[in-house]
Amino acid sequence: MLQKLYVMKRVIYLILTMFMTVINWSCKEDEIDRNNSIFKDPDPATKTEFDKWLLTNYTYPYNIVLKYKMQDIESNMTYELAPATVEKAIAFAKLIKHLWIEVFDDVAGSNFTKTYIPRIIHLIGSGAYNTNNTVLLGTAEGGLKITLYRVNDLYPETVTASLLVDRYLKTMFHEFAHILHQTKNYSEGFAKISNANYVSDDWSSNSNTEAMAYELGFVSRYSRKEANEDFVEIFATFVVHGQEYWNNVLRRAGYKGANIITQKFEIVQSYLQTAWNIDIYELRRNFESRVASMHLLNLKSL
Amino acid sequence: MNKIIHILIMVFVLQSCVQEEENLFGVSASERMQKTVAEYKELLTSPQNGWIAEYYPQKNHSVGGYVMFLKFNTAGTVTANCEIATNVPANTTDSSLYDVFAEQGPILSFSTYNRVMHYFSEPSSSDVDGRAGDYEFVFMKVVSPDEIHLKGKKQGNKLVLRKNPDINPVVPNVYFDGVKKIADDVAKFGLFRLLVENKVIDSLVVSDRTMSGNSINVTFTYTDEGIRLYEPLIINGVTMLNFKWIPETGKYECTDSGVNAYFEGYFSSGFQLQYEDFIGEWEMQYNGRSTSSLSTATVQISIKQKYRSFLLSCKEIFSFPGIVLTYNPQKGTISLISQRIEFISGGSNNIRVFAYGRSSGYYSTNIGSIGLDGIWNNDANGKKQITFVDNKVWGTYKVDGILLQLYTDNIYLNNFTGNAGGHRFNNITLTKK
Repeated sequence: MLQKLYVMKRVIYLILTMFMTVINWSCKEDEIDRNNSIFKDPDPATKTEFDKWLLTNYTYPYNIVLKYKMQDIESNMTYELAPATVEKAIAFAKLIKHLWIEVFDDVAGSNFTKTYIPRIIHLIGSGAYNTNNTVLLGTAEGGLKITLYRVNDLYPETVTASLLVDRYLKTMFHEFAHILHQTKNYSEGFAKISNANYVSDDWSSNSNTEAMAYELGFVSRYSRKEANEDFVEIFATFVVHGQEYWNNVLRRAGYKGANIITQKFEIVQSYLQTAWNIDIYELRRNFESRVASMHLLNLKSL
Repeated sequence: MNKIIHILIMVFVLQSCVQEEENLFGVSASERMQKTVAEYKELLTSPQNGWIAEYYPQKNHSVGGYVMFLKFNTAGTVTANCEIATNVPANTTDSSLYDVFAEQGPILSFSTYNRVMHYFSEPSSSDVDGRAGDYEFVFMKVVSPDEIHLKGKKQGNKLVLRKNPDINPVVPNVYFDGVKKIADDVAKFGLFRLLVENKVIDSLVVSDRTMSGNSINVTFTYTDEGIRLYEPLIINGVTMLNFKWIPETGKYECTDSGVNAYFEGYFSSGFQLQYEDFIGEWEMQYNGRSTSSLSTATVQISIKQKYRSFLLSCKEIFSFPGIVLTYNPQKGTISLISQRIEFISGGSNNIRVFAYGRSSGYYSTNIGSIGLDGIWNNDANGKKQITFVDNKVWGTYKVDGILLQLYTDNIYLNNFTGNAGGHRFNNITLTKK
């Protein structure tokens, strides 16, 4: 019986091998047509100086696509939008590089930036207006893509760092921090500190005021959404808003609130240090020195 | 065990190679798509004088079409010029980038900002849809190398490109002047009758490049000699598309071969006064500070936009140029609607003309709809007289006059009295001098 089973097994293997061979030679796949992809690089004839600049400054060094030409499929279809002008897109490309990408280059190394920075930056000329009188300025999707609106409202002559921080940079640092904690977890202790005061989507309800958020130990109303948002809000607020703003938050938070914020900040700080070897103070210093040298950028031409 | 082997054999036999499908076309799908994209690009760039485009923004072409001149260059730029894009000085062009690429079909994209093209898709906080314009268009139909039909991806806008001839090309500014002349001329009529083979088909009301009646609803674009409809209109087997404006007869005559049809401007039986009848000097009577006695002042009514509006100015009372009166060409009447007047001096200062009911003591801060309608006295007692009465838009309170306030931007400063000694004007009548 045993022997019969053994024979049978061999027969099965034989058959298996036979058919595998048959499969291997009989199914001839179509060749992949590599020369005629429908997702093609722009026609070299229509490649502008700016396109070439983007390749050298964004795509090759960082593997980032900066889309200054608006594309429906990349944008939010529920809004009526207008694209960016080329001139404004050039100014933006330079500002983003200087005040965001290169900050991480300096402090954490270009390999770090290249690996974790969102892959697509999409520039939109107009705002995305909602019927409730609000306007969308910047959105981020899953750490992959960042969309910046109202690019055409930027005037190189008068642009200030605080305008860029309020409209875009805060969001961009915020989103980058999401990518970091999604890659390496921060300590579980963080979420427990304010656990009782996370309110999910209620963070924007009228009853959850900014003053209340501060007193409960949050740096913004949005921080109350959940622990991850709280975590990245602390990071972004600390880095882009400066010490004076931070002190003001602590003052408004009162003794108890400030204590909680500081406790959480220390976790953010030590996480960045141990997980990424990033000194958050250095990051802020670097950002601030770049804000100070922002006026040296030539925003009007390549 | 045999069973297992059989099953195994069955499985492999069944799974093994399905017959390869033959390619229906000689080249792969992506190759064909690329070829199409290249062909469309070639087509767009080939006319040396570009295209005369007819563009219908807004969902369901609700506001009619506009003429635009587009020139696509091989370097990837497009130059646009449109009759109504008011964010650029009249008759000027703007250049931007365009792309032709493949999605489910070939797409034409106006991919960077063009002040002319994106005039129609620029949103704002007060108008989140802008003019519901598109910026990516699907190629629908190439009628001939001289005519391409495209459709907007997001809003379904219609864009038709017709080749501007190589020889004797149409000059944009000359064409736009022609369009403007016709648009200004026909504004005299608020009502049209459609006659096909001398039979009245429908009576239509004109509004913003549309004419709507009981059974017919057409949208159109002004051309340099008349109008072209959004799509062919078919009545009793007669197909109409192009019409020529004949100012002498007040008719749009169909120019399509073998067709006897026209739209004819007319005035309804209740029609009050022609636009020209309002122009001139009038005596205004009103209750100002006193409700018991009437004040008088001499006012001038002049053309603001012919057949559409007037300016009522009164040097005795206000230093600003005047209050706008709206002309209704369907009824031959004028209205005084709540409005905002930009002050000449003082930058952000502006005057608000609000609808006011002295009997109730309330006024409405609405701008643009609540106000007064002028009623003509049919020249009774030998004088041309207009009395202003509630247009009944407010409803809550009766409107019997206006009230003037001075604002800086959107902040109330004070009542605006001018030289009248009061900011309220009620029970207004105008008597032609």
